[in-house]
Amino acid sequence: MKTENFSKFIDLVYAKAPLQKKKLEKYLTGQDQMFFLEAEDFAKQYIKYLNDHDISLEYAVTAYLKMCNDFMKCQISFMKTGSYPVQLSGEAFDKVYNNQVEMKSYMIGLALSQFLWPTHYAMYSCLMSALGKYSDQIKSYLEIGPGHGLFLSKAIDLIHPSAECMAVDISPTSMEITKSIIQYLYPIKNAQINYHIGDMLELDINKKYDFITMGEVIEHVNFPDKLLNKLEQLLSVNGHGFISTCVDCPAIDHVYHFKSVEEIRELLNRCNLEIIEEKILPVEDLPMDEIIKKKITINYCAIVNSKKNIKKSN
Amino acid sequence: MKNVKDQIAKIMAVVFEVNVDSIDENTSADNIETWDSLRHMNLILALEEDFNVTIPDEEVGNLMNFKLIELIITDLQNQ
Repeated sequence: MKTENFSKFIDLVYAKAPLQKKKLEKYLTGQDQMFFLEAEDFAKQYIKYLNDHDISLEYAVTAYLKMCNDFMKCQISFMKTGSYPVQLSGEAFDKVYNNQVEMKSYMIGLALSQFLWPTHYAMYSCLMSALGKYSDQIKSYLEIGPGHGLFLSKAIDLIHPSAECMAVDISPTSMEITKSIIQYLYPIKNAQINYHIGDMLELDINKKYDFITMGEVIEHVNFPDKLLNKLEQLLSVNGHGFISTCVDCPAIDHVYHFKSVEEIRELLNRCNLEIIEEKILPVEDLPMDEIIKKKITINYCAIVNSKKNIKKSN
Repeated sequence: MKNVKDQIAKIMAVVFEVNVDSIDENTSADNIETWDSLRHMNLILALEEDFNVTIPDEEVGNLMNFKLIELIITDLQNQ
């Protein structure tokens, strides 16, 4: 099928990065028509957004490749030392979250990865599927760490138009990016969204949410249990959460090192969250025992609900 | 210098699982099918270990052909 806009990204990546080209060619060959429809839809809107904000396609692809290269450098360091390059969330603040230039590049690169990385696309699809499945029940939506804003924008698409939406992010730069994309795509809805810049743990919310998205957040903090407990407390009866994170995934701003999928499951369980559905997504196409032995990154996402709420509803 | 070339060729042959005779100055990520991102990381680690050098972060993503690898290794050895 014709993917005029998505191909603009792909062609630039192919021209600039031979390793990415190999990976992408293999990945795209196996994709169905639905993928290309979604990817083209995303690319069309995103290119318009970038143009509107005087951001060139060249910049966006360079940002994506910089992010890939940063991951590779962190992975090499991890293979040598066995530990993540950053140990404390404060370091990540100085190097990334409070660095406007770095954060803008990172968020744009991450947005492209939703369609260029198989594991990120699988997690994106998992969230879309859950939002679609529970859309009738979602009257209130909370997103913790909306970052590039794509998840929030799709949530607005899928849930009830009158649903209350709130977004919380610790990084002002990240929140600016979220706001700008929502403002661009949904100017009317944007005015109704409650945006809060700050630490989720310090936020006093006297409300429950029918759906809470917390994608790629808990590996950025030293105490992920605190965030998961907070999420659990904020879920309404019959409410659902989407959580994504990763195992053995060094990055410039990852501080919490999950060493296995089981460790994530146990943590969710300890935080009173029941896993309804999960996806375990290694980033390389190798047998699982080799993935574990070589400590290759595994992306993980789950749809959860509160165990306390299950008891109540019974 | 010939030894450096031979040593690089041997490392590349092991990492990419190809015959050492197939590696020459024109070898690049474009003409070795098995040269993917995972093996590229293994290549960097093997080069560092065998030549006892540290490849600077900013060079990691650039070393996509034999000539550039030879250049950086020679440069690092002369520092």
